[in-house]
Amino acid sequence: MKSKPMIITSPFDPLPAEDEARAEQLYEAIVAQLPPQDYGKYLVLDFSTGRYEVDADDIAASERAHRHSKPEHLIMYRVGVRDVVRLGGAVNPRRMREVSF
Amino acid sequence: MISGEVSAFDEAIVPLRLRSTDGRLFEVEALVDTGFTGWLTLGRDGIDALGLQFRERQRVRLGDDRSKKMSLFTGIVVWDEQEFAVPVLASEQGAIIGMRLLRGHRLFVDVVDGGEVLIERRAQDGPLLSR
Repeated sequence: MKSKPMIITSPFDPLPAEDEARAEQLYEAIVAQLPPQDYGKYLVLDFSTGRYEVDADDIAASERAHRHSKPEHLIMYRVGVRDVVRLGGAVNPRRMREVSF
Repeated sequence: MISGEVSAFDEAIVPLRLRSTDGRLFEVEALVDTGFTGWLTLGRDGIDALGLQFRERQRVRLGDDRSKKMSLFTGIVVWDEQEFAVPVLASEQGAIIGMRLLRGHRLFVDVVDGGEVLIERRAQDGPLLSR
C-alpha cells in the first residue's frame, strides 16, 4: 500500500473518521493472515503505509514500529481481542447464578 | 508505600509523583481504579506540564463497552524512591492508576469518608505481610 501525504493530527484530537476506518480495515486484513498462535499478541499498525509489527511484548512491537513510522500514524491493537486495555467496567461480564444454602 | 484517603465522593485517591522531561518533580491526586487494566492515565494539562513524548494511539475499551483510540505517552513515575518509565494514556478524566501499576503491591482501602488508602509492596517471597 503506497504511502500518501497525510495531515498530522495532534495526539489530543480524535483521529479523522477516515483514518480510523482505514486502521480498522487494516486490522481485519492483517489479522486474517496471522497464525492462531498470534492471538493476544500486540499489533502496531501504520494506517498510512499498511506496515505493522506483531510481538508478545507491547514495548518491542512499538519500538520496531517507530523505526519505520511516525507516531501519529501508529495504532496498537491486541490480535483477536482488539482492545489493549479496558478503562472501567468488567472484562468478562459476570453471569449471575442462583445459589442455595 | 503510598498513602491517601477515600474522598467524600467515594473515590480512593492517592498522591502520585511524576518526573517531567526537564527534571522537575510534580505531584497529582490520582484515582485508584481496579476496573482499569492499564498503567496510568493523565489529563492533557498534566501531560503538557510534564513534557511527555507521544508514542502511538491504542484501542481502549471503555466502561460503556464502546471502543476508543486513546493517545499513549511515556511518563516517569517516582515511587518509593525509585523512578521508572510507564505508559500513560491521555484521558479527559485526569489521573487514574490502574492494575498494571499496582502489580506487585497490596492495595488496602478503608472504605469510610477519609479512610486510609494504602499501596505497599508485597513481600518478594513467602506469605503476604500481615497487618
